[in-house]
Amino acid sequence: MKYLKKNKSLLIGLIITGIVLALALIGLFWTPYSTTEMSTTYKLSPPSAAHWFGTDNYGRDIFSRIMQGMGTTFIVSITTVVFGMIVGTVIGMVAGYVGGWFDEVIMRINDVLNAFPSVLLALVFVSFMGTGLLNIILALGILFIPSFARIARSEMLRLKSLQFVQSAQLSKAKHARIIFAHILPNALATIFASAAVGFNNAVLAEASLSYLGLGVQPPTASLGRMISEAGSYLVQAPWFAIAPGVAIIILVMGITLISEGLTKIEQ
Amino acid sequence: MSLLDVRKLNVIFDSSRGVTHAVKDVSFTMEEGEILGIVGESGSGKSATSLAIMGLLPSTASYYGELLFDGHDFVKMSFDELRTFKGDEVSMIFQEPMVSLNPLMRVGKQVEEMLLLHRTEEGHEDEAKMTKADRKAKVLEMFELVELPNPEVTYRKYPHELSGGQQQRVMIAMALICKPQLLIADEPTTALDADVQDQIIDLLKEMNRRLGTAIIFVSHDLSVIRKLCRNVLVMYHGEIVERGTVEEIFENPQDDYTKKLIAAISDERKVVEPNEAEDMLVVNDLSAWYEIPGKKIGEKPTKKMIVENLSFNVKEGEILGMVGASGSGKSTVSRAILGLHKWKSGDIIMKEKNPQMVFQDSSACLNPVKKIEWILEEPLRNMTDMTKEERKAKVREMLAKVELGEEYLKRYPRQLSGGQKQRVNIALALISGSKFIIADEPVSALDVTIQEQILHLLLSLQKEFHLSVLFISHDINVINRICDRVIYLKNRYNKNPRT
Repeated sequence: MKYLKKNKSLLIGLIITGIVLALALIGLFWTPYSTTEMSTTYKLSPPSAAHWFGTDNYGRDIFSRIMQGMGTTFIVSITTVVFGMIVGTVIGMVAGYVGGWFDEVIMRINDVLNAFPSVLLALVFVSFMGTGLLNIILALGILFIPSFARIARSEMLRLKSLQFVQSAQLSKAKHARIIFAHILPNALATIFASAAVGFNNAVLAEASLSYLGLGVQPPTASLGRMISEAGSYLVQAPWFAIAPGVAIIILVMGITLISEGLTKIEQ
Repeated sequence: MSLLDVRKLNVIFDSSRGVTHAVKDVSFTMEEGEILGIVGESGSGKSATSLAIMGLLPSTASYYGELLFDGHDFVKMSFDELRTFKGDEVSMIFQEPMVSLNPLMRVGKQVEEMLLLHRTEEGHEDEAKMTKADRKAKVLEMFELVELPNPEVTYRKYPHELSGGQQQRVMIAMALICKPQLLIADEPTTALDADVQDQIIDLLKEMNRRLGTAIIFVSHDLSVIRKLCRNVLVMYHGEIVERGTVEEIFENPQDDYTKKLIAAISDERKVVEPNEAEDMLVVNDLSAWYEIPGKKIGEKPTKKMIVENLSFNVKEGEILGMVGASGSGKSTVSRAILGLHKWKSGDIIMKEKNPQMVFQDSSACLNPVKKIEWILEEPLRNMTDMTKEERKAKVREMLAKVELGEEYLKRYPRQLSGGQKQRVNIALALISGSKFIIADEPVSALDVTIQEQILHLLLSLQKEFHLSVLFISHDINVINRICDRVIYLKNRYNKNPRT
């Protein structure tokens, strides 16, 4: 606790993310209004005491939809990043440890993945496999593999020449044990720090995918989807787009501050 | 009037981790042309003292007291006034010449720059008019004086093209070209091989004699101090604990710490008993090399030979010393024996299936994110079928053998001192019951008094477990003290072992 007081970024980041998460969690069970019930009387009404952030083109309460949408966005982003992190780290660690042609082949495949515009790749994947939460997570997760593989590999290259690895070899540890029990724990700080950055990118990627109509399907709310729906009403009802936009900014800011705080701990 | 009169000098470091009183009320005087040695282990304040004289303390440090140089008080001077003294009247050389030289500038130009910067200021009007050719001639003359080979050629070389000894000679040339009255040498020979060390010391002596430059020689190594200095200050925890001439200090040390220092470098030799035991290790015609991959696709890799046709043996219960300058392949030999080096030929026959190693850098070979208990358990986990309880018991037993308490089990390596880490390393090497150990410079990164303790521990464990040890070191003092036989490695081509 004492430490948190000194580390302002971590403290503020945790508070922001905590509030966002709490809202999203509550949104799973209860929202002020139904997120799907339409009403023609309240179509595109501006923010008021009854509807804090106003209503959308079908008369749905925007605040309620943001509560639900944050949950969707958060779950998609976190699973995406965790998936990309685990697969990418294993690939990068093994490639860096083994070296030689194996490393070359893996890293060149990595480069190819990197060379595609990321959203395009996800679009292709989703159009093939169909939309749906799982497919979106998979499509975005694959996008995150290369960056984690690269980071894990460079950490491996730095660490594997250190003497404690030789020391582990002398104590007859098997290769898998050397990679995952001896070396990996030393790389975790760096990997987690980049996971926080990755999370932000995932939020934005999910939002853009939904904006393009291939993400989360209606009537489920996601922050990106809401912005996409608001596109045609920008002049009539600016709050419709601004509210979910600000929600994304807050979510990303919270996680960014946490990752900044974590980097400070590492130093 | 003395050349340098230090009165009640105090240096205080104020960092986020707390305030350290690095130098406490240190006073001493120096005459013109004197060579004064300051000896002490790391943290004794010897470097802080010399940096204070030079005005090079970092901004986190504050200092007070009097530093009278030729009657001028350095402490009271402004930065600009001080600048005219630095380099001109007082000059300094450091431990790492490679770091002190600009890697992108030819060494001749770097030395010449000293003349440009310092000899154009007031008081040297005649020399201000030095032409380019004059300056170059002066540098070449200096290079000749510090015995650099072929000055004309060296002048145009870059620092990385010179050996460590030559780099240090360039540093000395640079420090002395303005004919300062005082030269501060902070561990200038520590990073060098033993024979090069001696050459640099001879050179400093010669410079002192010919140019009359007074020298403050800072070192942790009493044997080096003894070769060079007439007067010695022994520092410990920021205070001068003993002072006197070299003879007085060596023959009649008063302070306990000085006595320890002297005991650590004494020439005592181990009594060697004839060893009729069987061979633990036989190395026959061992060659080891590195393969540098070809630059073009399909090009064959080139071989870089490290050792060629090396043969020696280690008997059971024997400590064999292996001496050689850096680059002679000592470490490669040990890695080859342990099976950690890929490119080798020749026979290595060993009784012990599971040889272990104690590395030089005790902090690098302990996994930084694991606790000591986990680290020590690891060989047992991988090599034995012991249960968790048996392993924990064994770890405790081994830790006691290296004289560490159980409280260290739950600590991380970074919470241990260098000597404690090396104890853990020794425990790690012995815990699997190995009878053959390679110790690669196990004490050279440690302070003299700690060295002594670790060597002592190593010797007593060697007796207790009847170990065979291949002891690698560049320090002949250490080798003489603990080894039964010695082999010498020369650069590139190994000579037949001498015993």
